[in-house]
Amino acid sequence: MELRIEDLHVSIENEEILKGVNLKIELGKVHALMGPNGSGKSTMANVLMGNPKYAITSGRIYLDDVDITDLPTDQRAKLGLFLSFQYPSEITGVTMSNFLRTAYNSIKGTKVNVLDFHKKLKEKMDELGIDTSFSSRYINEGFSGGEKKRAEILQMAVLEPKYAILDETDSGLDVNSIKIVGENVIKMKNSERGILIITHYYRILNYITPDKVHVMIDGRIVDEGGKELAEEIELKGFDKYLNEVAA
Amino acid sequence: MTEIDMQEFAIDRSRYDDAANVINEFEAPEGLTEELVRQISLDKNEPEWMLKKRLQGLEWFMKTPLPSWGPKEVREKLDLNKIKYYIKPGTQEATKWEDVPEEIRKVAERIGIPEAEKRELGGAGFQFDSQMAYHNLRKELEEQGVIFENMDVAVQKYPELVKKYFMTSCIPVNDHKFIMLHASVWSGGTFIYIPENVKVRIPLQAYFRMNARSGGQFEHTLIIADKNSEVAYIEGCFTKGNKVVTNPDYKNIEDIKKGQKVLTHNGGYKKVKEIYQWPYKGNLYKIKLYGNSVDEIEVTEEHPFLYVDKKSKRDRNKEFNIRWNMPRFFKNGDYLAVPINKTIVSKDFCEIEIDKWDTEKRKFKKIKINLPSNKEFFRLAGYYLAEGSISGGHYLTFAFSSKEKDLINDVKKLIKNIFGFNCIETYHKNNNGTNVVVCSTDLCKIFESLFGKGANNKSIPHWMMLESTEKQKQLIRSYFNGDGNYYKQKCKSGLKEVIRINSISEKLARQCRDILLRMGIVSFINSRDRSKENRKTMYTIGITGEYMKWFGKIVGLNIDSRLNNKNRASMFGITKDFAFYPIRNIEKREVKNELVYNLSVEDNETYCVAGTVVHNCSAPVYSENALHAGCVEIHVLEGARVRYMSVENWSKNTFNLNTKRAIVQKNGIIEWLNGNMGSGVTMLYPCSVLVGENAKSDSLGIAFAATGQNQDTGSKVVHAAPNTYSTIKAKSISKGGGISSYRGSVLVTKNAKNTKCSVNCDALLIDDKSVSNTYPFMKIDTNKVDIAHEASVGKIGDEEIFYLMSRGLSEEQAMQMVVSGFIEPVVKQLPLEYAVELNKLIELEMEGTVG
Repeated sequence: MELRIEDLHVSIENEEILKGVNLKIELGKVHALMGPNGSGKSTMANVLMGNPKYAITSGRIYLDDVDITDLPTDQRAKLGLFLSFQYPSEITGVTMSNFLRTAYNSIKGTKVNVLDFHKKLKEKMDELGIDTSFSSRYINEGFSGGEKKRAEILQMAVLEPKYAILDETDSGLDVNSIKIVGENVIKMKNSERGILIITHYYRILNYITPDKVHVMIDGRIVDEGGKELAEEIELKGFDKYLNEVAA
Repeated sequence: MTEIDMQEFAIDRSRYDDAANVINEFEAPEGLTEELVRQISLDKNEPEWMLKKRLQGLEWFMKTPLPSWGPKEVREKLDLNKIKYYIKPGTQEATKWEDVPEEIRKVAERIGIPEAEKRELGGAGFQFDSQMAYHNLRKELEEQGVIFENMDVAVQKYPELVKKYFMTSCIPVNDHKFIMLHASVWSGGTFIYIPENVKVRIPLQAYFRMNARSGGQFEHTLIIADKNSEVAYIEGCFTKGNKVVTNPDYKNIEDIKKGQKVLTHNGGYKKVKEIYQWPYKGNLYKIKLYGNSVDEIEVTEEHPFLYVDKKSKRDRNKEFNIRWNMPRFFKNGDYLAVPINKTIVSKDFCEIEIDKWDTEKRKFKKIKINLPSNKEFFRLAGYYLAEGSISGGHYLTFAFSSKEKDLINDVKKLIKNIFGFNCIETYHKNNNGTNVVVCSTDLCKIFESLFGKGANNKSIPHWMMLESTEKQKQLIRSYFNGDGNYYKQKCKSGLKEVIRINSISEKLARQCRDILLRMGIVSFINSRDRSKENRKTMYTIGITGEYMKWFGKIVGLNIDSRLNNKNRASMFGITKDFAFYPIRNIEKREVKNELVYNLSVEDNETYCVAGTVVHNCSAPVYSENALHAGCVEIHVLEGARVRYMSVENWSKNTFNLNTKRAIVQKNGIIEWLNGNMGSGVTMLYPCSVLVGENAKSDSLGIAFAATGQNQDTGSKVVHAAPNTYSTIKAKSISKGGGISSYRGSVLVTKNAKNTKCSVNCDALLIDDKSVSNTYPFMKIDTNKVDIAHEASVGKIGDEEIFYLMSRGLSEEQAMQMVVSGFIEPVVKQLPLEYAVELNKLIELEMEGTVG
């Protein structure tokens, strides 16, 4: 059981961004994908979720052996894939609770009672230390950077995905917010879930210890290792790999 | 009165409903005359001053040109001579619900009036065409002196109040062209008077609905809120579901489901948007056609069909000019049109799925097979439909007479070429028959899944029905060679000839007729009940007249182009779009409470019943235009507060040209809330004239323009006193090429110092085809003012949709969510039942947006 990416090539406006990525996200593990800005990390997150803006030129994506390469985004979500967005969209006039209930019904294939859902939502918000006023605000509208990221984590907690991709969840946050988000992600780690944290800093990894670390440079995975690899990058940066590419 | 005409628009709502079977007591002829105006006034027993007002309006109307601005459809398509200006259903106003005539009650129930009653709303008035049918006001309100009355009645009962306020200071008779028209023919509507210091806590409601075709609705609403009083008033235009029918796979109408595709009059398939059914009282017409003894069409008398009048008694029409016509006007011999399905989807292969026995796992599993979709396969299909059967699940058998050597060899060759199997021949002495047999379970499964099991269930799969006619001709050829015959017999007048194909499968017979239509051949179907012989009903497809020649070419029969020394001619006609079958017989019967059906079909609202084209029987049925030119006058006296809400959803053929205006005295507040959808063209700009100090106006508007609609809406404020305050918030959604425009005006007079005004208009475009315009106008004659204007146009963003879809919402759900969020500021101000209904309407409008 794994989320498997095989030789993925992706272009946007005829420029190749991903140049043959191979990656496996396993259940029960936390993976970290690190790399400098512009290395293709966010592109990969978007492609995994099926953003129509990007064109896959070759390669396949499998979720528990189901080929999801050509599936529309909502189908992927229903199979248990989740993306925490780097820049979540703001949608006016739709409350978080209404949105989350619709999403929940859609993903779980149920029709949950409004009151039951509110109870569940309240529990999750308490767990994550999120103010209950959140649920009646419009989706991400007027949220601070930290609030947006916490709203993403809340969605993840409610929708209980099998594979979660956290795209730069730590960027733009102050130290305190990173701590809260990091601790919340830890709470959601379990043997039934695989998590991929995409970041170019080590910071968030202070709170979540990755089981595996992958390094992406210029659209390729160039190195893999345990948490010590992340520590090394924290000290030395990506220079080593960049030089290799340059050479 | 000012630089800008105060054009406004009205309400209209025929969209989901059938033209109920109401007997109109008086239906004015088309067009507007002085005689008609006098007749209306006389009919209502009006005082002289009102008649004078009407005649004045008429005089001005006649010499005033149409406005030179606004939607061009008003100048180009609206024929004011074709409107019926006054229609009075045969009813007197009732005060108890039970006393309302059943017909009208039925319509009202669909619209939801009794629900409103049950929920104990303050009072409800209901206007059906031009006359108010029901009015009731809760007792307590009556005791407080609140008046909620039909406008016609108010003229009689409260002449002083009416004379003072009716089309005087708020909207004078000469205001603009459609107001002049309104003044001359107005009928019904609502009169509300709230006495000093009375605060009505529950909203008063009225419902308006247009029923007659090319009808006009000209209701007048007059609200007077006396000093320090409060009232909210809602005008609604909703129907609850009811009605209709159709036939792609020859289904009974009651089996049709929403979202299914049906054949429409232009020969393509469209989705069913809504299905309605309701108990019907009135005349049903049973129609039989020549050339079809299988189907009887039974419909309500007003259900429109595509129709052709027969020109000459003896000969078939040379030309077929189609029009919509209703069964009560049908004549024997005239033609009904049957559309030809022209859809062609030609493929080289067709993938089908069959069960295959897995010998290891000892169970069936699904496997996919690619079949060649070529001429050979179509020819084999024809043989199978005629002579094929499956025995024991393993033997695919074709039964021929032993003489038919060519056919036997052809089948053997085809099976070898297509499937690679060798066939065996078995001889049957008792009938001199030869069977061609293949032993293959898979092949049996394939033929069974494609063509059905058992001779009476045989049919042609949908994809083959849509294939190119070149391939289909092969099927027809082999099918005819198997099951068909060429019959000729000498008779007195010479020779009688017909080509026939027999089948015990009704569906197959219909399919065969439909395929032949694609080839320009009109055939007929007869059925023969053989239950006495203990046999199944036999269906015969017959071809006569000149169509025999064309058919002969396909199947290789040489048919002489003349018969009995005359040119061959059949009674049926055909053009590239339709076949025409003459009406054989029309029977009328009266029913009480029989369930009837209607369908609403996307884009063109037509569908086929028993092959013939009918139109959804709601207002769009009529190709004529309908006009709504209502008028709402509101007097907000000192310190009073009025909240006016209306949601208008008239049918698409309606011009909704309505005028709404409030005059607000010192410290008074007017709140407008208008939702506009449905009507083809809307011009509506509710106006507030703030004449007293500290007067306030809030205006919220929402417009939805779908394909073919032009929603020209906005708001107007005149600040004519100091310290007045106004806000305008307008939202529009355009979809599928629809046009929505914001047209607004803010005027500030010289003495209106310290005035504040904020205008905010947002437009949302669902796609690239749609249009949004903004025409703001401001004229400020004083310095000390605070005016803000904001306008935005947005398109639904791909990123937003992607974000919502990543949480499991389908694309359609995601779009609906963005749209409902966009209109949320308006919706949340509506009472719950209206909010729910408006959201439902928007959802309905948004359906089918994706893909």
